[in-house]
Amino acid sequence: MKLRMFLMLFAAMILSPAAQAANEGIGWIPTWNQAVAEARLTNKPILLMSGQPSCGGVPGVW
Amino acid sequence: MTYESASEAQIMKSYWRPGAELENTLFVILTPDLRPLTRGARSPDWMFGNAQNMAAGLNNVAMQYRSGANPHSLPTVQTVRLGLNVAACDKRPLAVVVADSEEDRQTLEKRLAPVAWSGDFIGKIIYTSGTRNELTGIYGANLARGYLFIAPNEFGTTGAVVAQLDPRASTTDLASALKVAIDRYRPQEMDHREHIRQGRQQGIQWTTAIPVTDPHSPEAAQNGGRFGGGGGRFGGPPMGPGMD
Repeated sequence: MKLRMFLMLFAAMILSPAAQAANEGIGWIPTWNQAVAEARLTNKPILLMSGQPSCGGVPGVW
Repeated sequence: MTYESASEAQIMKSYWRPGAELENTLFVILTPDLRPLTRGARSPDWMFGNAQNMAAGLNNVAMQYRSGANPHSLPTVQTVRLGLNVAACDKRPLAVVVADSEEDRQTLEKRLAPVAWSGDFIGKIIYTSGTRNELTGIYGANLARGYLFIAPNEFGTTGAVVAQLDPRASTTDLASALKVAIDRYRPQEMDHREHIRQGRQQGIQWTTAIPVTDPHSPEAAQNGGRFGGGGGRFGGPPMGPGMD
């Protein structure tokens, strides 16, 4: 699986100039509760992408 | 992470097809008060069709929620065990906040959080926190309280400490250690199929927190073949920028 469950307050990430650099990553928020709390504080929408951190039972790959 | 939390699974199912079991992946966009702006789908591809449509769609949504505020909490994976796995999946080093009490961990996390969300480090490190008892199998871990910076192995089952700091570390110290972790981490470049092959050959097996229910996954088939057949639809057709 290539995706994972992270929640991203994407308004900050999409609009961030830093995020456009080739070696930049995405600042995912790993749990629902954290993302909900941040969304309420920042009034930003949530991009929820969930995936399984294993494939065929083998970890270390989505 | 799918299948790693029963409570999160219930929430995710509420954004998925009514009555359907949770599948391995879910993609949906929500308002800050958790109303869905899109239908739940298996991936952005199903939702948008291509990257250009996705960028346009996300920008349309973002324009309605202009906010200068940034996240403030350290974005921590639930456990050290899962954090190692996720770090390996993402090919990122792992930073672990270590302390025996929840209150103590929160204090240490608060010091690391602004560094984590700074431009230099966004998306480059996976974070987690835990007690010293969760550090079994991490080579070089020898502190009960503080910060560890770890290079995970290929399968996220172990890791090696590349830097560590005591709890008095300043934000400057933390930033330096994060940079060391990024600079020293050299993930293997292995394709997906080879990764699976080697993992199976070595007997490496991940146990999910709750059963896998995706009807197309090998794990679900092993659970007694509850889900037969394939095909079907996993979400709406690709959506354009308007996301109607």
